[in-house]
Amino acid sequence: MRNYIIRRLLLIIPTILIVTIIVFCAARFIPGSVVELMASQHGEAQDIEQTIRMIKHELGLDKPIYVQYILWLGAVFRGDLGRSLWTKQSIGEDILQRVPISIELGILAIIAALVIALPVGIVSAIRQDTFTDHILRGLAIILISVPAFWVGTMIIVYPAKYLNWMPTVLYTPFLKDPIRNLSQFIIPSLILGMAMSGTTMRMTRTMMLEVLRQDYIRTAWAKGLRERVVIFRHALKNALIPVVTIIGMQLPILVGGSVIIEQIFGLPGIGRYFIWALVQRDYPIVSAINLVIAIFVMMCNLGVDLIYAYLDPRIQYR
Amino acid sequence: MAQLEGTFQEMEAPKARSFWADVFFRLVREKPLGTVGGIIVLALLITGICADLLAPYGYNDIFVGPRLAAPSAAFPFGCDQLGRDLFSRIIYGARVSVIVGLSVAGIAVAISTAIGIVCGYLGGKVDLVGQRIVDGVMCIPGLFLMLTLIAIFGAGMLPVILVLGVLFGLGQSRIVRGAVIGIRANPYLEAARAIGCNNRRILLKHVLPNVLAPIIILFTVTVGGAILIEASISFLGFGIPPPTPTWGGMISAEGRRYMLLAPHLALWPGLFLAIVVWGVNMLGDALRDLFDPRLRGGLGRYR
Repeated sequence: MRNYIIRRLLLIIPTILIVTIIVFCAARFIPGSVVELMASQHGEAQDIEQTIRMIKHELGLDKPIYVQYILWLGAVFRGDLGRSLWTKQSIGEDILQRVPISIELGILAIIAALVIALPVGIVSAIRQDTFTDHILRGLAIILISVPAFWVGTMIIVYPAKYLNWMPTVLYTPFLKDPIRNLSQFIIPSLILGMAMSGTTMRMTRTMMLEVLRQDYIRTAWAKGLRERVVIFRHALKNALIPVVTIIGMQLPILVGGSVIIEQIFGLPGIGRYFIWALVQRDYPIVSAINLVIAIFVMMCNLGVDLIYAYLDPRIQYR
Repeated sequence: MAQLEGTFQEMEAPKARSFWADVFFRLVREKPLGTVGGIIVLALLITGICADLLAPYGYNDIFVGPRLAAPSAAFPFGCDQLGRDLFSRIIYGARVSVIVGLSVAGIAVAISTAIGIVCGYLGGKVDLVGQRIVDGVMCIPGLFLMLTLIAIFGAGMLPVILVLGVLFGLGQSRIVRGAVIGIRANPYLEAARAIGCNNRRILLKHVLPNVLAPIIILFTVTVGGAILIEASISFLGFGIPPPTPTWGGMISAEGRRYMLLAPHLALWPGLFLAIVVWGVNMLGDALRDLFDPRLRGGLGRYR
């Protein structure tokens, strides 16, 4: 086990380096127009060429590209993600401020996804190829196919028109008013969880079907155990292990979906910050968010793999 | 566009007729939902190709009807804030979805097949380096990377298609690679090596045909994924800019104010998007079942 963990950690190093290169390159493609825009905002009647040169120097854009990369990487390793081009605020602090909102949304969405997906997946597997099964599987594909941004928009638009009700779009911090905060998160996290639940549902079903055909399940039936005991104590426990991995694999989708949901429901999380930075062409923020999220996803994947190895004693690690 | 239609015709070329006819008959006989999916996909294709004939008005003809008009006989889906006919805009939106879906899937399949076959068959250092790069790209959640790249290359149909195609392709190369590794140990590859085939011949004539089934499934699934992602990006306002009517763009924030007055503005684009993606997914699912020999017969049969 220890060797396995060490090997996984070592494999992560080249991946992180590649991510930093991708993120860095993306950021350094700053179209000249942004610098020109900044120069014009300086507002003085000076020579515009000189202002541009000054700004480029300030941002370190006049150095060779590999020097820029090394300087940036060094700063990142010291925990310095740089400053916003426009507001000059520390990006690290800005991100820290918004992370809790996105994490709350993410956790609630995962809970919602599991609450919908697990029972449906289990029932669908137990009643394989029956009418119930077909209906539930159809439902899973509908959940995968319906775009989250459309459901979000409809939930804002229709009740507002016909019921005079609209979800709050003014964010309330959890510590200020927990109930208000949670009630604000319910709809967004349900929509986000819904998109996730389709795949989880199908995975749960497939895994349950596979497990239900194992010898030890037949033994359990043969012993005369009741259905409930067979399903929950013998089958479900084993079927859930791969489902854990699927939830881990869906994390990037969850993070991506949160961009859209935060935008619709006005939750000031990372996704909204990202969109704002893109619109402002604030590239240091864009690259910082990409990097932070990539590392987060990487760590979660590692964590999922380790949990998987820990949960399933049949897995051999070399 | 013509090139893409070509790919479809190629799939039903006379040489492979017996195989495709077989797939077609089994699809109709065994997978009613998959058939419905296929019909939806076909309807989308026809709508996209013949948009000019089907749409009663141009997608940008303003004031053909009253502003924000509710659905009526003259304007079945109503009108938007500029008095444009929504029905026509949905039809032209189908064309955008067809173009985006097919070209993204085409690019993605080409890239994923190339990377997957080379990495999977050659293994060793090529595989190690190739997979680390794919890992690196895949760590950054798709939507973030897509939005970043599109912001760099500029909005528009072409950048959206290229960015989506490349990113989908990189992600799926893992699946093709897995399939290739699965068949690598087969004796027929060893035989090919023994009679002195070079790598290029082995890859094209022996490996590729044997991993074609997962590649076709990937193509179908990507069409749906690409349509959905393009709509999401256009919804956020970064994708294909107006006046081009895209289903995602029609729901975007720009029209939000009017949607509160006329909810049908938000209803139709999303509804058709959902139906199309559902159809593509059902078709892909049915094809997966038909192609995967392990799933044939009663177990896992999809109806």
